[in-house]
Amino acid sequence: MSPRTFRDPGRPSLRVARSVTMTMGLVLLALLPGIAAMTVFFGPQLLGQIAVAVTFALTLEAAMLALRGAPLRPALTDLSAPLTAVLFALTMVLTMAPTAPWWMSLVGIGAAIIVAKHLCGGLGRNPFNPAMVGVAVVLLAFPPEDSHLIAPGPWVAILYATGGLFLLWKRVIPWQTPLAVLGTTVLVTLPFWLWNPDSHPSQLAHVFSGTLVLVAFFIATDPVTGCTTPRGRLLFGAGVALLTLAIQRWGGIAQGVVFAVLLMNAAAPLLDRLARPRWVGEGRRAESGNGHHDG
Amino acid sequence: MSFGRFFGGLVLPAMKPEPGPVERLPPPAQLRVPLLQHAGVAAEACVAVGERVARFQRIGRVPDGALGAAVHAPAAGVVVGWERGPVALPGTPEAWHVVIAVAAKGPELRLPPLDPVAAPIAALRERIAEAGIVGFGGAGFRAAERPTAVPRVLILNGVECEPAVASDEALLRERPNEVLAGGRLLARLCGAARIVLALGERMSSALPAVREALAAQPDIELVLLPDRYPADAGLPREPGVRVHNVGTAYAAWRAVHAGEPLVSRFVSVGGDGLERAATLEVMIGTPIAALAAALGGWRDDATVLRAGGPMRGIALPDDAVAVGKTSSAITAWRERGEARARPCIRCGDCAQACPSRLQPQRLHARLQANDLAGAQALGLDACIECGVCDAVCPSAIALTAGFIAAGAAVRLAEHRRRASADARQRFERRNQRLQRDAEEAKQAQATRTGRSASAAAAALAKARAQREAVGGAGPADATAAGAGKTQDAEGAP
Repeated sequence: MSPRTFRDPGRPSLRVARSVTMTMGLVLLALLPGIAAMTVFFGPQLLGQIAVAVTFALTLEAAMLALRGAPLRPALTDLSAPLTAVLFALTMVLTMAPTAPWWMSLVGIGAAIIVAKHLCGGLGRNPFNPAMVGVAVVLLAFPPEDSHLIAPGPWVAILYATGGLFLLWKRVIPWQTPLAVLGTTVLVTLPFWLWNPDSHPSQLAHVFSGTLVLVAFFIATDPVTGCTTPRGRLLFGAGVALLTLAIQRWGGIAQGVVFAVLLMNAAAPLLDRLARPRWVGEGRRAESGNGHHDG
Repeated sequence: MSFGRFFGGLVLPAMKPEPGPVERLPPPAQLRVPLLQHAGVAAEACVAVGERVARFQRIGRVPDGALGAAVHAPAAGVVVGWERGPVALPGTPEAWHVVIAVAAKGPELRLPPLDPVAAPIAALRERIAEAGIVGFGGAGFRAAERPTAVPRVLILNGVECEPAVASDEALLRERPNEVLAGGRLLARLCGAARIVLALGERMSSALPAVREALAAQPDIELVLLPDRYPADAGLPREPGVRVHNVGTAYAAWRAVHAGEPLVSRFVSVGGDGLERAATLEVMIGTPIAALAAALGGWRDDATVLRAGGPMRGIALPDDAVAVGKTSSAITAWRERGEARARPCIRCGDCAQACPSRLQPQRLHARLQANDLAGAQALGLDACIECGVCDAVCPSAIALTAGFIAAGAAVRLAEHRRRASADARQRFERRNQRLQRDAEEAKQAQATRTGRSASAAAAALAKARAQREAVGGAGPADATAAGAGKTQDAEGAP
């Protein structure tokens, strides 16, 4: 009897990982309560905005993959392009207007998928959050006349936070980033509000703007463009919060959070470098033969 | 000294065989006994084809001065041939196997028993080397020649954190007293005053027997490590601590107390590529196919065969490979819709799980950019190759395989660098020597014309002696030397 042959898979035979598709799917699922609350507030046209954005995103994704000669199926099914589109649509509606025309979505999604994602090397290689690049381009190209954030009431914030807690529970996102974004915002604004409650909005007003919660749980936690070290994530979140407040205060741009995220994206690799944890045995002199293990 | 504390890791399913009595697998018609079963140099065959061998008879001896381990016949029979083939060691190197046609009955060649307490340490050490004991953990150190510094603590490692591996648990369940006696023996050999038995919390089938055995020997401490893979990362890593596998202790005890060389071991057979799982007592040299046959055969969809568990087990090319001294488990696995690798999304799950607290995602990026130095600066050398990062990677990237290859590349570059530095040094010394000799000869000629010939001859002899000293003492690459010896062995039969 000739021996039965086997193959070397080059990796362990047990996997406990969630696939990329599953991760993206869970994030989309966690967005649903917030989307429902926003639909109640802005009307069903929000769903139209999302549908338009998702359609553009998938079309452009397929076109870019074809141009790059990359296989279509894995990238189109990993749900990363639809997630970008949904986050883009939600942020655009929250920071500009629920009535943005379809071509605005096309410009924004084009910037997100073509420039921010594929021209930078595709999924995993993009330094800037594609959804935020899209919103920033739209903001700069078509400046809203009323430069005030639309505050759709606390329910939107509360339901986005609920989705965020679900992601924390499922360990899809780390706790450091949202805690740092929200915590820093509250801590920094508290003294000003205590000093003069009349001229400074309360912390709750910041938090319940809805946008900040969306960013804290769903956008600043983007693994590709954020930090990967625990301390780096704390610094990243704190940076997003501080820059948002600074841009709002001195820049006079109500949508400062979009630019804050992009600036912190640029700083993320440096923060990761500075916040790198020490590995086991780092800096210790190589032990003599005595520490041998025969495990 | 701390036990059980380490960063990251994973809780994996146990997948262990039912704890029943361990059955002895009857020997197959032919045993293929590998002459290389550990890290080091292959043994040289010392029997000829056609020769009758007794059980326990030495069939492979350690080449002179080499780091090797003797090999013995697991059963009486006739040597019918030689085969070269892959062995169940890291990298599945090829080695010679002695093929023995097993006889139904035959003589035994036990060594005389030694008193483990009264016998001189040198005699015990010699016995353990003579019996071919190697470390039962994957690395297969030869137990007799551990590093020489005297440790304070001997840890008997029975942690077994890999899923589907329960051979240590079975051994402790069935023969706890002999394991402990072996531990005492190894402690005497290395001079450790304190003995700690480290087991996993989930080894419930062995704990009653172990506790009962320990009741009579309260000086041996029992430590239970949480069942988080890789639990052996929670063993103290500090000078003054020596770690031996419980299987090593058992084999050492049998060698001293019963005069039995190492010819069989407990092997867990299982994985999801087999219908049934069990721990069996198997003769070294049994083809793996015989183990599968005893358990109902491989499942049709089993595609991966490993010596060891699913995480660190060595992938084997086929089931003709023989069980070796370090084969704690033989497991077969199905690959269920294994996704092809997707791009890294830098989720950092690997960094959260890495017991060495590395950042595999950044190491991976460095290696993709062919930046070995950059990877080293991020701690590549601290990788313990446990495979946790692969297991958690949502993009199904083969991270550990890359780190292992990079580690090998680093070591090769270091070896080459050192070899070239050594060669340069030898060359320079030689030049100096020649110059000095020439000057001496010239001086001698100038002063004593009559005896110049003998002076030159003396200088020449001195030079030759020096050259031999340099060339002979060089710590030649063990594997390379081993390959040479194996070639010699090839001609012997």
